[in-house]
Amino acid sequence: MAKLWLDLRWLTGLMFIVYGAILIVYGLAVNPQTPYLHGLNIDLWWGVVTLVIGVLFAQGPLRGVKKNS
Amino acid sequence: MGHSLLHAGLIDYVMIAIYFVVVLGIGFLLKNKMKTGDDFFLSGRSIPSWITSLAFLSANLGALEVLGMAANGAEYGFLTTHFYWIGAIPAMLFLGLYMMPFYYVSKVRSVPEYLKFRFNEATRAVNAISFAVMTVLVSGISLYSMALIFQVLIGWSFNTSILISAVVVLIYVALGGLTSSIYTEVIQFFLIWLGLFLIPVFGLHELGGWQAMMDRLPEAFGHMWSNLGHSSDNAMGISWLGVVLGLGFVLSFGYWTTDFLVVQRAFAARDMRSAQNTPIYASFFKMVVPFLVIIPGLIAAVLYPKIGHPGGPSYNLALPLLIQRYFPPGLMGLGLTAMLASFMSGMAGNVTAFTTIWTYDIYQAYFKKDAPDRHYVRVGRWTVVIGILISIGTAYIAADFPSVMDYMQTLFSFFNAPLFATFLLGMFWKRATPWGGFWGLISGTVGAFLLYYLIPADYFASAQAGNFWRAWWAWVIAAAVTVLVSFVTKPKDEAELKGLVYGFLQLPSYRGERWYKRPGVMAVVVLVILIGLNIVFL
Repeated sequence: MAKLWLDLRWLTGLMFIVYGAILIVYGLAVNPQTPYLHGLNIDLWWGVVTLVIGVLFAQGPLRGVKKNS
Repeated sequence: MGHSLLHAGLIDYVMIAIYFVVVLGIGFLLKNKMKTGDDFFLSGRSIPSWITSLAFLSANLGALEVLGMAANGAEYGFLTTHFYWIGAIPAMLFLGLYMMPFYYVSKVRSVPEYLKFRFNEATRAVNAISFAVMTVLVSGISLYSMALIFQVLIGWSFNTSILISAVVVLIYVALGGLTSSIYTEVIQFFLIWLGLFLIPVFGLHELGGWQAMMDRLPEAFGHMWSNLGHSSDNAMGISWLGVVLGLGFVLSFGYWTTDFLVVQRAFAARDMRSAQNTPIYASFFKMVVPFLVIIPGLIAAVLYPKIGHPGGPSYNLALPLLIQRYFPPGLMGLGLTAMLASFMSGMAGNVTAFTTIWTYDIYQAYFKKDAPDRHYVRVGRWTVVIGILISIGTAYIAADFPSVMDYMQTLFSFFNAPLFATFLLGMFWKRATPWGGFWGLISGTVGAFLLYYLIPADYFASAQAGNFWRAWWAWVIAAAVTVLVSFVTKPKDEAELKGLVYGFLQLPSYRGERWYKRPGVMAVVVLVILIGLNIVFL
């Protein structure tokens, strides 16, 4: 377990999952805009992208830990 | 406080706060792993090559890169890409293929230490001191630019921004040493892509694509070589010869192959092949960075025609203006965090390099030779504190220079350019003598200073051109003096040069490894892409 927390992929993944989740929630709740966006909910969409990248980073080391235990 | 460009909301501060929590958390996680000096200063030489190569790149992708290169893009157009391609890639490949084996086999812990083995104690002292001075000056530039930008963007006061970022960097570097620094550099690399990727995408979309953007820019903005026939043909005031010799050869090789800030990342690699692959893998990432920083500069030049002109916004605001235009709250927080992260990692990189040089090459060499390892780790931690305090001071020095970008290139032309001559002769010419190396290094550096102070600033077409040519002549002086002195002084015994000089080291062969693990094969791939890119954007 201690090893997981020293794994850079896990740390990076976790951070992006948190960022992604915040952006998704904020996008859904507020859908903030700038004049250029014309209604596009970019916080929501970019939150999804960030979350997916976070999951991709985090799953490798997590599986490694499960295999060993 | 007063007027600010962006109006960061609570959500944006939350995003920034999370980043602080992550980097500080990493510092605490790594704290207990830092038992020996090798752990603290060299990450125990145990880091996989994908991590070291991203750190290698990110240590350089600091404050000035992100804002400064976007500013240069808005001012000079695609010409700026020379800093990324010819001005970096060949040197990175050369480091990986030909120089890294010497660094790695000799098990040196720092660049000055190599000079001690290859030349003598005096040469090492000169380099250690000049590097320590240069690093704290550069670290001050990072701190200054960060404070300035956060003052303009979100209205934090100059002193507050300096204090907050200095304290955060201090804590995580003092706890986790080089590993902390490397970890946050890698996180920063991904963060900056996620945080800024949408800027060029939205920008090119709004302008109707690449061609439509080019149609609205001066013709020269789209070319890399076509306007370099003579220094008067282009806005940067340089000719192709200046680009090739000054930037592509001396400044670039001097920086990428001898600057301990970047080279230290490769030292942390877990074996020789990883160390060699560190700069070679990094060069793939390096080639795509212009998309993130130079293209936004071009977009800003179209959207804000008054940028850089009297009454308009400064070139340095090219990227922030686009963030303001495209990013709503939330995403803006991510973009700001990415920029903050790049400033902090630039500074952390300088601080870790400074700490290693001070502890190993100055303190251990001249003050206290035989203390237990624990002692040096403690000294290292205190050096982090002192290094950061000095950086706060030098941040206020940087504030006095009109262009921080030119200030930094000037520093490089003083210190890195002559050093590269010393290294090149030291590694590839066994006849180079200890005192040849010493006097070459001294006279190259002094020569660069003299050229800087004696030649009037308006002699060159631009500050940039001045830096390129000064670097070239500093290199020539250092090389010539090294050769001349070497002929009249006594060389080292061949036995002492084992593993340090070309011809006295069995270069490893990676025949049989898979192609993407072989440094030589990968270097050829990079080179082909590099040539292709230069032809496309001719």
